[in-house]
Amino acid sequence: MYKKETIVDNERGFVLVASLLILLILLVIGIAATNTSTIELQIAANEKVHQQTFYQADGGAELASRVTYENAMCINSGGFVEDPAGTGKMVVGKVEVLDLTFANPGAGTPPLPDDGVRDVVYYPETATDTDPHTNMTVAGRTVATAGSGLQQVAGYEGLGKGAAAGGTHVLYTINSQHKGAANSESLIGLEWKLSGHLINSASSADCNFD
Amino acid sequence: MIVMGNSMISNHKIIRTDQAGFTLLEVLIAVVIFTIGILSVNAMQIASIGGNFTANRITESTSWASDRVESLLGLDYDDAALNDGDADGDAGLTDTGASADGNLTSPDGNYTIYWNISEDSPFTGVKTVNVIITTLEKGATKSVTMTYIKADSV
Repeated sequence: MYKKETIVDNERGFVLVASLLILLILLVIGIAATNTSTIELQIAANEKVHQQTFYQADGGAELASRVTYENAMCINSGGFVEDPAGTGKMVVGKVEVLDLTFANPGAGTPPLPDDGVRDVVYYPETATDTDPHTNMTVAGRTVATAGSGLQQVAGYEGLGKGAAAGGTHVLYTINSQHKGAANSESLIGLEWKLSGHLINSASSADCNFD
Repeated sequence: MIVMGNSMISNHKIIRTDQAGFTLLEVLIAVVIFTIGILSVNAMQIASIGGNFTANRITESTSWASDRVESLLGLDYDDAALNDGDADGDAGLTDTGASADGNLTSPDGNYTIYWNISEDSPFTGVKTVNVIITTLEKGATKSVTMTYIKADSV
């Protein structure tokens, strides 16, 4: 009789144990679903930040091409003017130009931009490097336009010297780096061509920032 | 063990009574525990579905924003879609609704696409384009913003 009771005791836990086992399986499925959902949200948020940062960097490259044009128009009249005075840079609204003659043709290979290495910087929010901002570096080199003769590069000798010059253009390499939300970074590089004649013939009237 | 006729009957009686009583109680306890467990798993599934829904909305908003930015940057600098219609400049970059410079609704009606233009900002000869996607999620309006700068050709 006592032994029978023991057998009954063993049987008693069966439904409970079975239900707990099923519960365990469901719990594992539930945790997996929650986990997937969390990762899904992180993916979506990262994708969003990536796109935002990318378009800011791409827009920065466009902005840099325009600033380069304005600077190139000012090279003959001595580059951009320091504003505010004594800072060594020109501040126009949210854009700061740190090198006042950066569009002057040279080696043509700009360094990759970073917080300490930049010709132009754009601060969409506040002018601090801890907030999102775009760093841009620009360098141009003079190249002979395809099909132009030596005279077009150097201009004729003697009287009327330079009259035929204009067979060159300046090939600018523009790098734009945006540092955005959540420590995201995007780097865009592009090449941009400006007629050498346009730069050489620019007068102070063409310069908008002198 | 059940070998003696008399005690076998009584034994069986005891076993049956015990089994019936304990099984019922056991099933009741099991059902209660199972129900509590199922409810929490159910809550997990609901949270998971909600999270996936939100993630889906963010991804689709991002795609719509990207689509609009790409469409706008392919236009001419002086195109009518790139005009600061209400001339509110930088202050109007975050406008939604009727005060936005342009708007569209996605074909499925879930997303409204607004864009605002600020001319000669942040520099002369460039426009700032701000694209805002709004969507209604669980009664609240969620938005995704994307900013682009478009330069005039020289």
